[in-house]
Amino acid sequence: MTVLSAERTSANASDEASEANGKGLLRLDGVTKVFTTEEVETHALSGVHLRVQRNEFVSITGPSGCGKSTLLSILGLLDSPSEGQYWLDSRAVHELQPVERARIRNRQIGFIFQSFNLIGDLTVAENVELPLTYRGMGSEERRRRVTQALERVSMSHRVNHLPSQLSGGQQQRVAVARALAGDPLILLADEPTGNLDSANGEAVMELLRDLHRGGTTICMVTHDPRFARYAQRSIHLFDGRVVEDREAE
Amino acid sequence: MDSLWQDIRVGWRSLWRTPGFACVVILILGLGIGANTMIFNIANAFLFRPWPYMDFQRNALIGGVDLAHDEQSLEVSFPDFVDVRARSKTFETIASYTESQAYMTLGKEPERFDATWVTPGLFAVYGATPKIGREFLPEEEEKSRALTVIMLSDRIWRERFGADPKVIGRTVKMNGRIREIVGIAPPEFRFPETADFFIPTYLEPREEARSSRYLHVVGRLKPGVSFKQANAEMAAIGSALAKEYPESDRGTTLRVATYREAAAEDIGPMIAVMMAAVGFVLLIVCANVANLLLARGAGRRREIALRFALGATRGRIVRQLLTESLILSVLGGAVGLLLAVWGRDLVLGSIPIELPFWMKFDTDLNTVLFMLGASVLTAALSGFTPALHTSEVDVHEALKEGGQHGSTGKGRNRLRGALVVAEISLALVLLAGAGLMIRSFLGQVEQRTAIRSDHVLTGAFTMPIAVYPNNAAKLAFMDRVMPAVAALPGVRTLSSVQTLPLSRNSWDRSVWLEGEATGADALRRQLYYGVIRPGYFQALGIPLRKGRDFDAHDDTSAVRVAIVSETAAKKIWPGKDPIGQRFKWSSDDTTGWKTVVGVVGDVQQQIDGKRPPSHIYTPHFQDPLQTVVLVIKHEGDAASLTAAVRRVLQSQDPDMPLYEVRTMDESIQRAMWENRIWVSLMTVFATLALIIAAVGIYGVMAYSVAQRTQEIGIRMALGAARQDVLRLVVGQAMRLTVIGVGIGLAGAYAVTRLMASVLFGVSATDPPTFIGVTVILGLSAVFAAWLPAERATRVDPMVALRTE
Repeated sequence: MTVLSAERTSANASDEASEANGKGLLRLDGVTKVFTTEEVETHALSGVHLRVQRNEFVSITGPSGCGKSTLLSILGLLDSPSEGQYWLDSRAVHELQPVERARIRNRQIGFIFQSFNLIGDLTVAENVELPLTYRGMGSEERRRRVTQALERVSMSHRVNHLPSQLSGGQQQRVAVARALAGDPLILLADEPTGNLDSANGEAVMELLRDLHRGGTTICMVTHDPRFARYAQRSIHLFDGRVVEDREAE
Repeated sequence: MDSLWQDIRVGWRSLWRTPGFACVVILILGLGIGANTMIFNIANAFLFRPWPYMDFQRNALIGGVDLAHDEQSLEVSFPDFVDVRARSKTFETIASYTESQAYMTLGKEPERFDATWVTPGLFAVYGATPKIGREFLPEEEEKSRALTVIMLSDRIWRERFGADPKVIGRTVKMNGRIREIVGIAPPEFRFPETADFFIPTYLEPREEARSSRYLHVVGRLKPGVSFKQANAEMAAIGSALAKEYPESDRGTTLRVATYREAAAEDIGPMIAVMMAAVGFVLLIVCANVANLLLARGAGRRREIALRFALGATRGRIVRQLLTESLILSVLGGAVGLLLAVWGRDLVLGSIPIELPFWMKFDTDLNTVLFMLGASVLTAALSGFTPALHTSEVDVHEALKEGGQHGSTGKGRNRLRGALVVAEISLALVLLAGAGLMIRSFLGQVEQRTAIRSDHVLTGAFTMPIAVYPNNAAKLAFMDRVMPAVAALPGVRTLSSVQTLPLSRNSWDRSVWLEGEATGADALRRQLYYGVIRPGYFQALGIPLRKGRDFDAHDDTSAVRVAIVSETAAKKIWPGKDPIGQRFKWSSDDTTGWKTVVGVVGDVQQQIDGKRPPSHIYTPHFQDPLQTVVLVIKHEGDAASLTAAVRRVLQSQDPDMPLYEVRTMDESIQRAMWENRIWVSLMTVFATLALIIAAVGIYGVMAYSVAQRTQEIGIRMALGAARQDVLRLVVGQAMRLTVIGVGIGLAGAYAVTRLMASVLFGVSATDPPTFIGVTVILGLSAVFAAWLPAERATRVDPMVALRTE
């Protein structure tokens, strides 16, 4: 186990080296997130420093309320840090305007959620196509990418089904396909197995591992140590701080 | 375009999967857009759509103007018309007409038809080429020729002459005179409104006084001439005539108006009131739908958050939501169009008269475009604010598993409350407007109490000049008919007048008092004029206040006499006893002085009640007019009496029809048809507004109760009684209602003043009306809030507390 605060200097040196050789993908420097409700301040994240290399598979674990989802939201540009800096692909993204943040979310980030978050009114293909539509991509190219993405998750036989006609595992595979279709720099998965039974959970994790082996960078929030083991690196949060960052066994 | 199409597809599917919501919204929007489309359809017929045979750029109305009463438009005398026609350089053609009747026997019974007396060139003014035959020739303006020819409308030609092309050259007997058919008017041309026959009118300079204004003058401008130029020319001609003929024309001039202007002046104020009313309905609908969309949006936070997560910008989300609003509005518009057509047919079905040939209410492109425009406007008004609010989500919070599905934001609740306040205040303004119109209408109905209309039968006949060329002939005919009718079983009192009171018609005369200056002053003393036979006041129950009624001795050999109404007496002889006062119709009246012999109670002549009931009556014995409306107070069945009267009349003159046969009550009802329709529409719109506003209050309170279930449960667990919960919920609704009513009263005070021109006998800020509608709205609000409040009292504290 390595307590980051004690190792910061050497880590920074190593990160700068990885950025210099083009492997560094994202970097958080002293990110703090404070929620204020009814004059009460809640520190969801406190001075988090984090580096993720390209083609890494990182799991983020910790007890309920430790700030896992908040961290993922900030990584996914769904939320902004109260303090600190966030660099994605060598670009400072913590102070961008909403429109530019939306553009980056659309082009560089893929999301996988615990509850799949497929839109019930859209078919499988339309769900996968949705982020490409926001990108303003031509219909021909969209169709090609949707087909490819669904083939990668073995769901191409269900293109015209509605989410309600699929099992939980199938829905999550569609959600993975949706995340992949835009060819993002990084996949952010928030408890991707949380709503699945054990067998389907394993299948989704196998899918993520295959994607990682194919070169995809993944950050995954999970509370389940069985699934955390699929990642090559594990980050543990407690009270909004990174208390452990180690290579998986 | 591709993404827009996708928005439409996704929006359509989203609505398809929530059919209950979609149907309710579409129905509400349909009611709002439908009401607007229906009223536009009426306005369209007058103000926007083309009229048959009308070139709005060139066809003009030329009217006399009394300079003392700037807005009062006068007809033109025949000599003035001839001068105008001769002097004008800006018009290609000028013609004149007057509406009249034709009496003829085309079948078994004599009938009355609408006829237009025209000068040659009238058809050319409207570019209406006769279907067969010819128009009247200039020489047919001469009396000897004018009395010999006639033109038929296309309708009469088809229905009564079997569309026989050989009808030209045949003769018909009309108004006792044989005339040759010289032409058939083109299809639909029943100028000016519903004419079946056209007859030349003719100039008899010696008989016509320039002060006798009865012609409507119309013209067709030369190409390239503007209305402004024509107006300037007519003003110059008018001034010249006033100088040349001061006795008749002093204080008058001539003015040119477009047909659209005339229509706007005629129906414009009421259309404006109706458009405002349905505009208010639409705003209430928008506020209501906005509230429904807000509630729906609260349930879609997760979906919206997901779209954000996938890279949608806020603008894109707003666009998607607005697209859904647009789909709803266009569907609502389609429903509205159907409702508008249905409502229009209902209104048209209740009109008791034949509509003018140019008045078309069918659904045209204008109406469809208006519906689409109203739909887009409605989508923007009802959808924009909810779209902004719905797209304002905390993505991080909304996407969290177990995150709140409904919005509990105070801002959103405040917006819902504000929308309900808007609905209530708009509804109050509309209710106040409707209340005033109802009070005004009831005021008109109230006028009936000035007479006793029960068991009074009325029917008209006309003695044509060809058969009854002078007063002696007319009086002789009356002397034969009246005793025979009076002797019929069931007749209690028999009299006559030339125009029934409480109708839409009137005859006017001005009086000139001994020693007064001549000229324009007389115009200011215009009175309703009734030519009656003895017993008229008794038949209608009009009280004799002073002096005496006419009797059989008041004939041409006796002193000319008159009876005046109380209002007329006060107006003409203020502070004096009217009995014995003398007057003439004008300074050049050759019939001599008339002496007032009686004063009677006031009765409104025109049902709209715009002018005071100043009446002057003269005896038919001394002024035997052609047209007589019998007024028969009777016992028993009116139908059998009608048949008997008709038999008496035709026994004396087989070609004379008895027409417009109605009971007095029917006659009054008929006169009120237009106001009855407007008031009915206004009442429907106000009721609609009230219901939609109440639904809005119900919706917000039901939503609030659902949100506060846990809170209510806690309160009840802590000992709150049923009435405490009721007070909590109803009190919340009442706070919104009080604010809405306050704003609404201020708005109504400002807005209803604009209705003053369409109100009768009631102030635009009538306190009883304002109080009444406030009470109605308040009670409706209590009722709407009571239902969710009742539900709240049934909350099981244990269940409510477990839901957290």
